[in-house]
Amino acid sequence: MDVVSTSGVSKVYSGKRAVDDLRMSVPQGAIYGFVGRNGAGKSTVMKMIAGLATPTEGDIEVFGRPVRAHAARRGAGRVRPAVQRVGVLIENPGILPNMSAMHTMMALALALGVPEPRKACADLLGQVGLADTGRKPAKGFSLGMKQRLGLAMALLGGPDLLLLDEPLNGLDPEGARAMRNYLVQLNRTRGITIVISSHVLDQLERMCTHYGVIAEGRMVRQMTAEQVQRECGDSLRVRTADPTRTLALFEDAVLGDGVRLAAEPDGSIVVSGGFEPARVSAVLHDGGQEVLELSTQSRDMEEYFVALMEGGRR
Amino acid sequence: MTRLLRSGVYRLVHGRKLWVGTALIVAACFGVVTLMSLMVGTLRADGSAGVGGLQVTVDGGRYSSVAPDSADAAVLDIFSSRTAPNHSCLLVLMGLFQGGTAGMLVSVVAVLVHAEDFERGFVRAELAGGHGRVAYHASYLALAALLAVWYSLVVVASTEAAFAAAGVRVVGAEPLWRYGRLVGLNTLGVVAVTLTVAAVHSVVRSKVAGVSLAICIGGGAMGSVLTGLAQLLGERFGWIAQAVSWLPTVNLGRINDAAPLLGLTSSASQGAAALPDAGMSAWTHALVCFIGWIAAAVAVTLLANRRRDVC
Repeated sequence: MDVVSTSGVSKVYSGKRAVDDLRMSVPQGAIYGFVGRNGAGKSTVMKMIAGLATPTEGDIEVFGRPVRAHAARRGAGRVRPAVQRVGVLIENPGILPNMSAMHTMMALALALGVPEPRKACADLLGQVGLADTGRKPAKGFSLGMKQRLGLAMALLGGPDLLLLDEPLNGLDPEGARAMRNYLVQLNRTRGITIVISSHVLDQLERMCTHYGVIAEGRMVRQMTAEQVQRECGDSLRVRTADPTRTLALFEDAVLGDGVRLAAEPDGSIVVSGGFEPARVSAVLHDGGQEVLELSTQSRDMEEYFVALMEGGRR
Repeated sequence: MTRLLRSGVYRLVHGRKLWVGTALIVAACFGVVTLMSLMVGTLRADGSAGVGGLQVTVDGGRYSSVAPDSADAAVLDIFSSRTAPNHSCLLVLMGLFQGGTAGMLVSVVAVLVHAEDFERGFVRAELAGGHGRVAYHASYLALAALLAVWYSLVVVASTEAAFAAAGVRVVGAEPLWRYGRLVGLNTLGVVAVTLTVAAVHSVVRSKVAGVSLAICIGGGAMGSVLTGLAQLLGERFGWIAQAVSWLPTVNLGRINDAAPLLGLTSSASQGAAALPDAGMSAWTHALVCFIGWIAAAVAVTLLANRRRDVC
């Protein structure tokens, strides 16, 4: 079952299309890494999923129920909005600077109608390591403490889906690792589905089970972590005397699952994805190509995602 | 909505803004009474002093050689005898309602509370919890109204305390309903001013614009300018005078002028008193005006934000 499912979602701000015909599926229990450049539309998508912004077009379902208020009313009887099971940390963590961590949490707990709010807040503050902050105003917190408080706020009310926009921003390596481990623990022990956007791709690589790549408001590709591992592994660099003919041969041949071909400016062709090296060699031989270079090269995840984002730009 | 309102009250009580505003009102009340007391003390010590360019003679026949502003005369009377005719008199002389101080302060605090929600992103955490946008904005208006009621009560209590501390006692307390009417209408007026500013702020969503509006509208500057304009343009543009007579700040001035117990007419509000009254008593006119503005503010806020993105 998909926890989040969007179809044809678009969002237009002042005539500019920030999100365009976005299709996104987040399976239950996934840690979904949402990858894209600044301004690609990640935050806008998260806001729409959380019900904070209304799509200009398209539909969003969370836990199988429509997010848009008017869409919910279309159904029979009173439909409880889906966003009740969603916790968010989007852009600012929502911290009130002159209030202590406990008071900030209590204010939110009262708004959400959390039962036994004082106990729930104390428990969550303990879990994120902020139990001892006492009456200290939140404006005196370090960035890491603020992010942890923001996460504790997102967890109030026991959400089944967490939307986290750049939660690792500004954290030192130790803080980022602690946050990452905590998120993985939440996912494994409580089954919380997490959608997380971050520019720190190596941190995503260590926790995500699924990925979605967005460029200029469009979903370029969605894949599992295994697919990413497979596709951003080794690639083959081929340089021949007649690159145009070689590229045509490769395009006609079946080199393997999910194989991608990229023509480089120096005339070489990079074959990546699930290719079979023996098959590539056979195609070159059978096509009578004069091979000038045939070498393997490895590519990291960052390079892989950058290539995908570049490919998704119009 | 109730849960959001409880949360808002919790934040106010545990935050600073509510208490800073409360302290400012208390200080203003005691400051005004101290100034009045000092002014009268000067008169009594010297026997005469300049008021508005006129010489006031205190000993012998009181005010015999001058025609001072009637509010000034009342102040002189109260502080020389250390007695006030009733509680309404104290409230009107304090002038925080009709002077715009209360409306401005409440509006500024309401704007700052709302702006903080958006600036800090707290609203996102609240609304992702499943509350509708209408419920959120309705709770904000309710919170602003509660703020107005709280600060109005602080004005009333501080006024009584400040005059009592200055040794002024009330000799002829009016019936409770009459004092309650004055306090109630003043409070309703402050609620109307606050919700009007809150409504505009919820539409423009700019802290700077909101605070500026609070100072202009709540402080009564806009009402004064429009009243002056209406008088300047005279009968040719009578509709301006009609429109101005329905401004909440103008009606606040009227009900405090019209307090029949006092027999006073504040010079600051004489312009407002000259505006059309639609054939109603000042009390009824004010009541209709305040309720109308409150209804308009609620309608504008909820309609403008019903489908608008939170962020």
